[in-house]
Parts: sequence; C-alpha cells; structure tokens
Amino acid sequence: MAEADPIRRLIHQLSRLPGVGEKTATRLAFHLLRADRAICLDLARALEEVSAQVGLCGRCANLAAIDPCPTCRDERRTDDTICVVERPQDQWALERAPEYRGRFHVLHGALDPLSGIGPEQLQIASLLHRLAPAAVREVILATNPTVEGEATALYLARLLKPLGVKVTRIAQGVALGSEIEYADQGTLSRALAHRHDFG
Amino acid sequence: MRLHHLLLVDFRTYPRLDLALDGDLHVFHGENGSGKTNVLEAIFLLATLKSFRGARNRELIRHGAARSRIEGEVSRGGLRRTYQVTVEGAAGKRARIDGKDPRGLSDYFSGLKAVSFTPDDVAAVTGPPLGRRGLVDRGVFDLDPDYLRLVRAYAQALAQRTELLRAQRPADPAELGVWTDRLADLGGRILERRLSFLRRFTPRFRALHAEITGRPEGAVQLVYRPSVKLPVDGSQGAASLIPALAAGFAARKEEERRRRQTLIGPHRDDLAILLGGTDLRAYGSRGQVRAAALALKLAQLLTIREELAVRPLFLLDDLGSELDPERNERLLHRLRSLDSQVFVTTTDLANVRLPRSAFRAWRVLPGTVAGEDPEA
Repeated sequence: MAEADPIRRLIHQLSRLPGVGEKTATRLAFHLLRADRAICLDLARALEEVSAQVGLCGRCANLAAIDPCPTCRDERRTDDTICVVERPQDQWALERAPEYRGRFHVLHGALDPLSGIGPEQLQIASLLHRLAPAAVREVILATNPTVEGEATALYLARLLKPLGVKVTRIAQGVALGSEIEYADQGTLSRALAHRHDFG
Repeated sequence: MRLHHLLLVDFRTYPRLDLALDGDLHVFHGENGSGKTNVLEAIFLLATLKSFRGARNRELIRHGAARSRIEGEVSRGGLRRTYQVTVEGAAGKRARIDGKDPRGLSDYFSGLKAVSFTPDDVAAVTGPPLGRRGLVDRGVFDLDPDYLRLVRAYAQALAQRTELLRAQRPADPAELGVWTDRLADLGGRILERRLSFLRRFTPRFRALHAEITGRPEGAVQLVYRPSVKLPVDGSQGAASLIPALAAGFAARKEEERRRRQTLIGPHRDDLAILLGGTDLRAYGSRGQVRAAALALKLAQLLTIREELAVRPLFLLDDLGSELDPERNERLLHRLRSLDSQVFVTTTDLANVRLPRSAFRAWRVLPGTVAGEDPEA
C-alpha cells in the first residue's frame, strides 16, 4: 500500500536503494527537504530522464540514453576488438585505460546457477551476433576473477574459439603500486603462471 | 609464542574476565558446566577465528549483550602484539592486531597459532569423513592461511555445479562442462596441497603414535582415500591431479545426472587410519582411538613447530576423560619438552600429576575464574 504522506513515501523509496537503511534514508530525505528547492527538482528531473531515456545499447548492451551508445558511435575506436565485461560499471572502469581503443560488450552478470543465471540470462546471443560479420579479430574476456567470472570466461572461450576469433583473458597478478611481500599466495601463483618474456 | 594476557568481555557466560597468564602450564578446573571450556574456546577463536565447538556467532555472545570481545596479548620472537576479535550476531567477526585491520589472511593468522585437543577430536577418528578431512585441511591452513581462499572457491564452485545438477531445467552440456572443469581445477589444487601435507605429516604421526603406544612404528598407517583414481605414476602435482578429476567426472557423468549430486572431488575423500592393517574407524578399541587422536594432534603441533619455527599454544580440553592418568602424565611431560604453552581443563586437579609448582591452577565457577596460589 502506498504511503499517503509524501515525506514518508520519499523515505520509503530511498531506503530501497542498496546500502541505504531506514536511518540513512531519513537523513537524506530531511536533507533534501531543507535544501534549495532547485536541488530537489534537479534530482527529480535526473531520475525521470534516466528512467525514460536510458536503455540497453542495441550493439554492446551497455546502458545508454542513445542507441547506439556513445562508445559504439565513437569513430576513434576500432571494430576489430571487443572487450567483454560483466557489468556497465566494469566498462566505465576500463574506459579509463586510454590504451584500449576497441569496443565493449556488457554481459549483465556472470554464470551463477544459484541465482538462476545461465547463458540464456546473459547478453551472449547479442555478442555472437556482433561476431557474425567477421570484422572482429579478438575478444578480450574481462570478467571478474571470481568463481563465477572464471566459469563465464571459460564458457565464452569455448563458444568463441571455434568461430575462428582470437580469445584472450585479461592478465591477473600483483597489482601496480602494491608490494609482492603483501600479495596473497593465490595472486602470486597467478602472477607467476601468467608471466611473460621481458627485456 | 606465549599468551600473556587474556581479556573476555561478554563472551559466553563471562561478563568480563581478565587473566594474567604468565607461566607455561595453566590448569582450569571446575565442575561440568562451570564454563572452563569457554576459556580454551576463546583462545582458539583468537588464533583461528573459529570455535572448536562449531558454535555460531550468536552463541558466543553473552545473553543480553550485543557483541562479545576477546583480546589477547601475545609475544613471539621478542615482539608483543595485541590480538582482538569482536563477535557480533549478524555482522560476524572482526579481527584486529594492535587496533589495526590485518592486511590479509596471512597477516592475521601467521602470528598466532593454536592446536586444540578436545573430545571432538577423538570422535573425529571414528566419525564421518568430514571430521578427518577437516583435520587435513586445518593442517594445510596452519602452514598457509591462503589455502582458505582455495577451499572457499571450491565450495562455491561445488554449490554452483550441484545446483545445476539439481535444477529441473535441462542442463546445457556446455554450461555444465564449464562448472565441471572449474571444479576439477580447484579440486586438483586442493588435492595437491592435501597430499603434499600428508607426505610430511605422516612420518611425524607414526613416530608420535609409536611413542604414545609403545608399539613399533610400522603399526599405524595413514591412508588418503580419494574419491577418484589418482594417476598411476604416483605423480601428485596439480598438473596430473586435475586431469584425473576431470576423467573421474567423465566416467560418472550419467550417475551424477541421475542422482543430481556431485559425486567426486575433495569433498568426498576420506582419510583412513589403519592399525595393524585394519581400519580404526570400524575396529578400533576406545584406547586405540584415543591414542590415534592424540598422535594426530601432536603431529599437527610438531608440523607447525618444525615448518614454521614457532611453538603453537596447545589447548587440552577435558584432561582425564580421554586418557588414563599415566598417559596424561606422559602427555604433559611431552608437551613440556616441546616448550609449548599449554592450557588444560579438567574436572579434577588430581588428574594433573605434576608437582604443584609446575603449573598455575585456576578455579572455575559459573561466570568467574580465580587464580589459586601453589600453597593453597
């Protein structure tokens, strides 16, 4: 049942956000009520626009207000490489690395039977569709190094390799700026397994 | 390594307990139900973040309190550090060293080591395989805390794969194949670690068993019983164990589909303890089982001592219930020779057959623990 009081309704809606409890929601609501009216209206407009305009890009399945999305439209990017990520925020993070000038593809998750997620629930068909014109030479698998991310990478590698496309996995190992002494054994094992020629 | 000071706040039955623990042997004595095991449990929890009684977080918090806190001042190699664990019902446990968050698993677990010997360890010798696998995994973890990541990843992959087998929808063979191969990969690495540990652990176990029982060293054997056939060439590296597991999955594919279960892997293995060629689990007498359990625990202590060059704390719960007085006496002397700091609980101080000056006695009553003078 919807709350009649608008303040209570706002608190209720805010408290549904991840990481926001009843207390924080109340604090945020009263902050908005005390703030400049323009802030409230700007926020309302932003929310309305996001829900009305943002959808999945028909090519890369990323969230965007236009279709194709700005990254797919970007002519300085090349079509021969696609970097596959689990979530839109992973793509945002990777876009900060200026060396990569290829395209992206967002799966919207990873294989996770316990949550009812199989290949059908991921944006895999749309990825295969993009490979059909054969302009793509390499697919970089940038799923997370978790149990689910690894399984997803393996699944995609087996699906894509028979199509004649080069499949690579992002390197995993000792983080830049960290010290080997403090890396855990699993990380070090991976860093050693993925070592490369040098000098 | 020595525990100099232990502070419990709202832990189990104790609102507050503050113990200065100088000395190498501490005996907590009191009636059953007085709470003496709680003290040992707290020390074990500080070292491992686990209760040796398998208690849930909620059970560790005194009734009516929101959280409990355990604090221990530990010295090792001339360095004193304060280990602290807070337990909250829903939020779980939080560990700190000198008030700071540890940098990782190894950082916390490397500095404080404890080995426990409780009636549950005796039960594990004859109980289901889970308890004996736990013994091996605990041994590997003692030497390398990062092993926990591998164990957790395996458990997660196992749950995912088993869910796929259970699901009503027809499993996509490629999807199931991926989870099978991930499980074989993680399982092979677990198997490698377990087998490597047992190669070093077994000789120590056999020597200690001979020492405890007076029987020849060849009498007892420790045999790892995997759920798949291991490579015939005796190679026990992950590079050959992973394909062995994969082959095992391939062979039992239909059966797994029918029974909707993951039937092979480290979670299905067992460790057999053979005495004169027969399995103690089925044929062991009470005394034989106790002696084997004790040898396993002392071998665990010795392995840590020799491979990490530290002297772990030894927690001996319910002395007197498991071994006869002579064996108790020999055990306490043996522990002294290993220079470990030892914490004992017993219902009767008479079980400790040592000169009164050789240990510190603590009288345990519900909610309190009081030190006793040697003269008293």
